[in-house]
Amino acid sequence: MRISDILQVDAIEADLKAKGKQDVLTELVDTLMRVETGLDRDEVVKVLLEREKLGSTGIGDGIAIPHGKLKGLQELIISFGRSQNGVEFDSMDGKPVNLFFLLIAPEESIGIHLKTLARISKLLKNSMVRQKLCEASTAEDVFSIISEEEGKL
Amino acid sequence: MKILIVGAGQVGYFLCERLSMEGHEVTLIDRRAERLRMAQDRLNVMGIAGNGAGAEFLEQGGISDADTFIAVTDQDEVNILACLMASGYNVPTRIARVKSIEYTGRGAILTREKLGIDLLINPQDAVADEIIKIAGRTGAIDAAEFVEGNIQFLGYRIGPESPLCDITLRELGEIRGMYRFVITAITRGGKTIIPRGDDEIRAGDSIFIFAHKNDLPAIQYMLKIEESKPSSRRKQRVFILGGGRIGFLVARQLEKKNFDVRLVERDEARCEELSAKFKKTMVIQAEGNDIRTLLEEGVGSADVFIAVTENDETNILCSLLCKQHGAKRTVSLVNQQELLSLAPTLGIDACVSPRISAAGAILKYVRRGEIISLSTIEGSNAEVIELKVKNNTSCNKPLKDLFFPDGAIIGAIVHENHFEIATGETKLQMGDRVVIFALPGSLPQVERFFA
Repeated sequence: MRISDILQVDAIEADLKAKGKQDVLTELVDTLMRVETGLDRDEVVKVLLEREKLGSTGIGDGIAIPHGKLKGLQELIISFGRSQNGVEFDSMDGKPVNLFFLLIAPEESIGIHLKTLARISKLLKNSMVRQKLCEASTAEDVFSIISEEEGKL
Repeated sequence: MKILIVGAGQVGYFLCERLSMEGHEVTLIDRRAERLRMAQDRLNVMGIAGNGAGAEFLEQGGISDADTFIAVTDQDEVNILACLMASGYNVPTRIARVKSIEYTGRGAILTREKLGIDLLINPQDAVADEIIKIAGRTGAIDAAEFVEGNIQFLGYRIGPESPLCDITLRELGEIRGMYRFVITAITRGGKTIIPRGDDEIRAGDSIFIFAHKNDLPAIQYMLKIEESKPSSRRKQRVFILGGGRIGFLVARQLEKKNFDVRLVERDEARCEELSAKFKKTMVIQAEGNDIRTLLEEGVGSADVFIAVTENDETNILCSLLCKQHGAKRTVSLVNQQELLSLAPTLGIDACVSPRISAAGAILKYVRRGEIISLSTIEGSNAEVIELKVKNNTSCNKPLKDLFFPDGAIIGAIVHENHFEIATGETKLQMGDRVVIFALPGSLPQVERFFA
């Protein structure tokens, strides 16, 4: 499944304000809730924080892919956020994170979740893609970069 | 190395097979000509028919320049006497299998030191150790530790619900930034392969992974392999069928590890004897197939069911019965070699054999020079070894550019205090410790590669 089939433009925040780990997770959930209004914000943040406790999802090169599983969810949902100044996220390489993909998967079907995680990781391994995403000016631009670059995978 | 083995039973045969395959010069002594013939026909070993404790036969086998002497007949006395002979001939390393002699613990009259034997191995103790290890892991069908426990090797069975179904190795490679583990082997339909990027994981497979112990919680979270919740909520419940020596040893260790242990034994007198030895273990007098009683005692919510009676069939059948009634995992003691490969196909999670465990422990000891640590994978005969990088030719080049032997794969690398799960880009350095998965037969090449 394509990232651009799951991610909606409204669930992209091109200018994250948060400075800390917990705040940025909350902001990403808020971004997601623009399109998924039924979510329990605190519950989702809690799930994400619990996952972070097992090991940071900040994979280095200014990227983090926080994710978790949630009971009662129908399908995989995604939001994207960009922080101009970077957020300290306990990343593997110790560097601040600029680009965030947030994934929430139904507790029962994690297979899709894994495949999508793999796809996102692959997309962001390309330094050109990272640079383009960092330089994009609007949420729409971010979306079209993702959609276009994903087509090349 | 020149190795003399006395006893061509299951343990002796297993050792001959492995050691000769690794290029050692192996001589086998046994009274039974037909057992010798079988070994000689199939393996590259020299056979001598005769008494393994007799000077004449030992000399014929070249004992005076042997490096290692291994006595593994069915009789303790023969093994010990043979080892005493070997020390008379100044064989540097002497190993004996013993069944009924108490040689460890406070009550031991005869110890290793007193007997002048380097390794005394009791198959029942060896298999009990193995069972304890298996029981301690949630969801894993096989497990071993390397580099002082930092690198874990684990086998998992993939059910139809597993998130790993239909995932390719390449996809898993992409998320290695977050989930640092590598799949070194897949067993499918009785065949074990080392997978490549395009290979896909399917329901029914068993996968074998390497991971750092610190990364396991995240991996288990993602792969949903913590079927039973950790002991914080509830103690792990273990049922042990059979109150013999193995059952006793396993119960005692698991009790120490804070498991909720229930030991089932049919003999009333033995039950009383056992009850007096335990503080917390609940001893239940019942037959293994008396499922009603076992259910009343809570076998339906057992995290592990361990069957260690003297009877293979009882162990297999009772394991299956309890699994059907809700026991999450089952471990069966199986003595007969023919049944050992059958049992896993019936749905038993782990099968252990005293002889194979003993042979594994002996093998580990014999190879201790070059190889730091070694584990044999149940059912597939594949092995996991830990080696030190001692030559320069394999260093400072990405792994993908090395001509690493077929049938083997590097899983993890430890450089001083830093560890890495191997990828094609990883580079080795002198003195690194590497953990390798090797299919049967590839071990000699692997050793040569790093020698």
